Amino acid sequence: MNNNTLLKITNLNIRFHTYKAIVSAIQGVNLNMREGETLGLVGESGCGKTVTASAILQLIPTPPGEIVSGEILFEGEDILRKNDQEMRSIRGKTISMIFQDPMTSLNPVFTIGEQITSVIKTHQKLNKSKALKKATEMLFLVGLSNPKETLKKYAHELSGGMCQRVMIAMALSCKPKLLIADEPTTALDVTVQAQILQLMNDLKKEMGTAILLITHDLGVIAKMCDGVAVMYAGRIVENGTLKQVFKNPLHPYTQGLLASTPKIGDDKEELITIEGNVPDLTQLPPGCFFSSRCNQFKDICGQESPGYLEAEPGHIVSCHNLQLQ
Amino acid sequence: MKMDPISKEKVSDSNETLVRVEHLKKYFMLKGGFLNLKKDYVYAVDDISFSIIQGETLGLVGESGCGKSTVGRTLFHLLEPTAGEVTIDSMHLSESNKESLSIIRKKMGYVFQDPYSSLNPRKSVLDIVAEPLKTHTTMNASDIKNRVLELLRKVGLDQAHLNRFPHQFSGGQRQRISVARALALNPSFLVLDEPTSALDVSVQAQVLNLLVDLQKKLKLTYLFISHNLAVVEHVSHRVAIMYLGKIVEISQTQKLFENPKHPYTKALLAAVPNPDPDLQTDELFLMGDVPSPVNVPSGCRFRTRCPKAEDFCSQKTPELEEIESGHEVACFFV
Repeated sequence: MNNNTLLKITNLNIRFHTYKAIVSAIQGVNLNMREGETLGLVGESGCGKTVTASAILQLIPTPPGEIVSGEILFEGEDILRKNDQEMRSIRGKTISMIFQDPMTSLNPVFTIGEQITSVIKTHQKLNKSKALKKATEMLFLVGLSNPKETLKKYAHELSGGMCQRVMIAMALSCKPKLLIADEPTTALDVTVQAQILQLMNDLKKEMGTAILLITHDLGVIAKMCDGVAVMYAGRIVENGTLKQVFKNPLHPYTQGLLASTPKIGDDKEELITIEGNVPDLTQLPPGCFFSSRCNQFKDICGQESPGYLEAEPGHIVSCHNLQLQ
Repeated sequence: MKMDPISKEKVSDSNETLVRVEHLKKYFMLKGGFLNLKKDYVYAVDDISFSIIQGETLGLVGESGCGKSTVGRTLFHLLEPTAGEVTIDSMHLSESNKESLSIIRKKMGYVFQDPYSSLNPRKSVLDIVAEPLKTHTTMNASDIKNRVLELLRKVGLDQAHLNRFPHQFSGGQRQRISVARALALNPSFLVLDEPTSALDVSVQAQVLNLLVDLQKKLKLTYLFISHNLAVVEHVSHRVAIMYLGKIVEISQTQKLFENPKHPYTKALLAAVPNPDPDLQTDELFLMGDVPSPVNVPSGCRFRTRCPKAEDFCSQKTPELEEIESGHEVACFFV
């Protein structure tokens, strides 16, 4: 991992126009990633992490989505200004993505071989037999023991773990600079998850790929990530290195999230909870979105939106409590 | 539930066995091939025995396809067992007719995994929670309404929610409604099938605390089915680990987590990622995938992935044996 900035998202605002109301999906999101880094994007359902990731590959349908403002600089160029043709040459080549449910992310009517070679042929000028050879190498690299056999199979003939390995093979076949992994192991059994996470780490070291890892599982973040960004109701509330955020959480939501996760070996009678529910994204309250559930609420929290404060180098928090100190 | 001051192990107050399962089997037949002549079986549950004491929570853990949900459904008689006996409060399920089944069912409640499909979207909360009362009692409408209100309050909801519909609630709230419904007939035993797996972590904590609290107040007995080891450790007095239709290890919670004996249990515990960045280990993995429950390996089912497997593991099936008080393991190497 070096210090060059690979991805820089500045002030990203995205909303969705539905027949009922406008949904403010993400508001003022700032995110930086260095080359070779693994950044975890963590939050509960509806917090906006998938929308943020999809925006990087221009996968937000507009309409009903609307990119209100912001820029996404990838290697210095604004992705949001690129046209369809330019995006097609980026997707699968410089930036790849793998999704949550591997069984439904693969095309059911094409063989695995057809799907992987399709990616390879699109981005590299290889003929069919060379593409197949490369596909075989990739399947071997991701730990599938009979690559030649697997190439001839269909998605439904493979287990969840095998499908995810195929997805990773496809995503890494053109050695992308950035891999976006959206809940890649949530649908897998825990022993298979352990294999896939190890695989991702090994391949990342070999290829120098940066990974944007989206998940709600704090254990996965602790295992995989160099840095963490915590999202709540469409905003990033805390951002820093893994140790900073997990060992010294400063935002009450991060503290609540860590405290309410049951851990093996914990001897607690009662789990600490975060009372209440996530706010309605069509009717966001004034001030801090977390205020109705916060145990450190002050009057100003209901009036003004908290800005960003660098509590220690690289550790950024959006909370009035820190600013009041 | 009291905490034993010496060993800090959770023990149930009573010694009465409420639920007894003996040699339970559930096979599903698959038909295929030409003229549907080819028959295969899914050996979903293959000779399981356990008992649950009154007031106790038995956690049933395993990965997908191990048969844990099938155990839950068979216990509740949503599925008829292929073989074996289930006894709830001294009443045998296999000997029951429609009438006695109705009596047994009143002693039990069921909470399903998916809060979005387990509530009828066209019924109000009042109707959903009242349904067991309307089916099994002769209470009048006003008494039913009062009882529903009482149940809603127990789970942290109130009068305002009576006439709303499921889509107006969050996942966590829907699970509370499910719990209220499951408690309608004052059951002594609840089967909870992955009750918090579909919920966010902060909501999961609320629902788990509620379940533990209700157990203490109403002296309930739980079969808690889950794939999440940390959750199971938190709520269970004892834990049973399932693999491909069989129980491979069963013990008091603390003993199992501190001193797992079966290679599968060890691998399962090692595979759970720890949210503490300082406690990361290079664990030993379990390679490969779970074999299909249609073609179960001969002898010990775990041998195809077991780091200790020897030739004889394919010839004989290990039985559960007690290695220390209350701790049973099915493995030739223990």
